[in-house]
Amino acid sequence: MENVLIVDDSKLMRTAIQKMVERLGLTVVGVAVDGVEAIEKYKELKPDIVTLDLTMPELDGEKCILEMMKYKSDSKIIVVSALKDDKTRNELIEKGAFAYIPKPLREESLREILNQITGAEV
Amino acid sequence: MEIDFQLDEVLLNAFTDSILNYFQEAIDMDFEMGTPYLSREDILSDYIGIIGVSGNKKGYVIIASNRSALEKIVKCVFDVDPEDDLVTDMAGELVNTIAGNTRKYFGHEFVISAPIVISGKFESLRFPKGIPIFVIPIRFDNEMIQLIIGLE
Repeated sequence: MENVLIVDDSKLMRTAIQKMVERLGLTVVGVAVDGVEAIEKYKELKPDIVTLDLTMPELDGEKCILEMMKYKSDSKIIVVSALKDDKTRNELIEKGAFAYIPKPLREESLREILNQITGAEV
Repeated sequence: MEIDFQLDEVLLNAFTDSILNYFQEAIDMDFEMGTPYLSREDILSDYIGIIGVSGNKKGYVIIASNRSALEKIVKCVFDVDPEDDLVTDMAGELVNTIAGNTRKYFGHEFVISAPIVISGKFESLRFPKGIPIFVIPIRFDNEMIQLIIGLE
């Protein structure tokens, strides 16, 4: 069973993503409200999957990806962001993100990516 | 004030497209976008979500909404109970998504801040001087929210 860490500075998004992930049958092992906490939780919990916001206080999502990849590079990082442009998406994938989902976030989009990761119909 | 209509048309098209995208993809409710108009009046509302913009454009993008409109969006989009802090986050989330989606038009150099949400009054004097401030009204389910754009 894949374990998921949710990183977002918005409680609304954390709550919504947690509900979606749990409805899809995966386990949320932790949540983080900014980039610094995200790195701490990532090291502590070693999640299989991370959903990551980009625009956050303290340490932004882009820097989080670089830090996470240095520590443990086999986690699948799913960036969920309002920044909708190809250059941003391509740069994040290059830095180690597994997928990029533009907001507004729809459960179908998340399910599609999780299916790719788990190799199962979630 | 001299207005560059060609530039403003590009700006407004980007934001109206972004609003359309949000309401069509995320909110399962009929809505109507009113004609944009110019206004420098102070913004008075229950919730004001503000995004600072830097890079190739400078200024603010703002959502002004009353509580009941945000409660309806929280329930409709995220299917969660509209507790106080979730309603506050909704104002930030809405303006963040609408402003962030316009990168499709303005490119990578259109840099947005994390949203801040305040209650009450935003003084329009905080916008850069000499730029037009546009208001786009959005109506749905007997509610109205306003997107306010002041960018140079």
